[in-house]
Amino acid sequence: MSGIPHDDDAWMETLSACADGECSADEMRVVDAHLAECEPCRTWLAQTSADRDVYIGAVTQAVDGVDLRAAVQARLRPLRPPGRQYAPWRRALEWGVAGTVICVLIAIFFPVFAMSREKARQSSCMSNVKQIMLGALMFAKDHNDRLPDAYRWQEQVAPYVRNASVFECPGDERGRWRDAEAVPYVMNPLVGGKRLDDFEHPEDVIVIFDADESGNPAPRHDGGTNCGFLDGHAKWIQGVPPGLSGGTSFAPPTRNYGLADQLKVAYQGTTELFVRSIHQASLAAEQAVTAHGGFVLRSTLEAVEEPYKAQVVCKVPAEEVAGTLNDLAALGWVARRDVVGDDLTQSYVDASRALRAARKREDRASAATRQPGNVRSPADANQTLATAEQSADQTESKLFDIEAATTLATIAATLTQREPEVHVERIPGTWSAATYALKSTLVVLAQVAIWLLLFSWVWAPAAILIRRRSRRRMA
Amino acid sequence: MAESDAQLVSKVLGGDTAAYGELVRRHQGRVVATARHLIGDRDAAEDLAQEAFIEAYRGLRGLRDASRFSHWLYGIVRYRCRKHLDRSGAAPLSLDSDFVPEPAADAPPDGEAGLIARLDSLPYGAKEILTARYLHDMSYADIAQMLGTTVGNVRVRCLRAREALRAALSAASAQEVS
Repeated sequence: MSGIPHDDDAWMETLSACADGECSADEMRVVDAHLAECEPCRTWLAQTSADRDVYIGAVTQAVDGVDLRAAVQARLRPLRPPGRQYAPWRRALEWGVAGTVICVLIAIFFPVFAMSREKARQSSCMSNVKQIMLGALMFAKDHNDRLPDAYRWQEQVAPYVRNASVFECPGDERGRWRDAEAVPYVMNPLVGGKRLDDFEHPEDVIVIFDADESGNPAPRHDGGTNCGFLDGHAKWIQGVPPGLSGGTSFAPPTRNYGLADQLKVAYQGTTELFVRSIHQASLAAEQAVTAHGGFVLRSTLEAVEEPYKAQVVCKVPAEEVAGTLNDLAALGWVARRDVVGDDLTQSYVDASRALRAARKREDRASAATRQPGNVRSPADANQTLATAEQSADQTESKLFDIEAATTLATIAATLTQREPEVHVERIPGTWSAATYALKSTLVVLAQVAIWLLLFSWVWAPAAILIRRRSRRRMA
Repeated sequence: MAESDAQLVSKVLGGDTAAYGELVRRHQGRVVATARHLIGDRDAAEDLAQEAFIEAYRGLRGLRDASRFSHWLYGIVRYRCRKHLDRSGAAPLSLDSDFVPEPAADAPPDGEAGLIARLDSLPYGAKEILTARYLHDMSYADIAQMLGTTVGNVRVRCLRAREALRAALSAASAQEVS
């Protein structure tokens, strides 16, 4: 005896497994060594083998004489042979039906999912706008209540916001590899650099808004634009926000307010632009002026030492002031713009009256010279006539000047070549675009998979039914 | 020389339905014996065996390894027996009760019928293991795969089934002696 207790379950399991030839080589060696010395274990194995024979004999004897062949063959006859393949068209039909169902489900539910995703983007963008707005207000508090400059606002606001990602609009389809200067948010140029107390109703003044590449409001969030207001709140506005459409809207008055036959307002505009290429921009500025019916008075270009500068002074029809300024603004980034309208209506009326009076004096003087008997001295009469004529000419010249100034506006544009300073982290190169595309694709695939899983209770039973039906038909 | 199961299966898949008759002839004894032993009713066992053969015929194309036809067929039979007992409510089928001996009804008759009755009163789990191992010659790994358990667990179950079988046979021989 090897001292192995026979009431040990582990040992008996090993012995049982060895009886079935299911133990390992090591176990077999141990069992063989044990069996050589242990009579009870040999007896147990022999008994087990005998039991097996008795069991098989008894169980199979209980069903002696059974023959199912005829019955089974009879039932097999109407069945399709198991090796026969599906007709190809039937398999194609199955796949087609399944694919159609899946496509219909995707078509139904994907827009819903996309809508909710768009809402999430809108909320994220709203948060960005609010953070930028709060940063701008903090900047103003630190700078004598003066808002950031409309051109350098990002640079100035950046220290007051948590990170640069707030300058990224998640709904901007251009993605993160867009040009660095194409920032999705723009500060209202009419507000930049001004003091907080310049505005009577800060809750109505838009400071930051979603914008496209040209700086116009971009309704990229469900047909609306997220706007940040001067009092710090942010709001989604459907359509183009009021006061921001069309850019500059300076134009001569077209109504008679009862003050004169026609109002006379002389416009004079100056603008400073930062551009990327001074040569192209100066030529484009001249073309913009002529395109609006104006003419260039002076065009200078200095490209010897940096910063390269150019200046274009021109005259344009008064009603084209706004259009010309907008076209000039599109050439680069507006650093400063100043448009002054001088109301010369009263001067025009006064000059008209003075001209009429001068004409009367001239007529009287002329009559006096023709009737020498009525005057004390012909020399005095001639002197009076000359004075009247001179006065009439001067007044007429003044009227002409007013007409000219109110008909043609003067615009002086100063262009400076400068690279944009935008502190938004940029992921350069094609790789970022490829990564973004890959990520987007994976996201879409994941969404499709999620939707398929969510609605598996619809298509899975349908697929099973189709499968069963095809099997029945096959049978 | 007799053809193997795999050869017969490939013949059936090739369109020779008569070859399936040979498969039925070859396995019907064990299949019916298994079903009768598990559910305790010969007539029902024959019906059930027929159903199992039909089901096997229908799904023959899905059989990956034709040489394992016997084991696969046993799986079908076992599943149908479980379903039959479950529907009829004839036996408790929970895992805990698999090895609890069924209560003896009346005193079993003597002789061969008494032995069969004793064997039929074995716990259901023991009968499953014994039929798989002794009638269908399945390995522990195959049994474990079929039952969804581990080989170690099958070893334990085999030992317990053998002990139950020994007890039943001892009781039968004791009755014959008395």
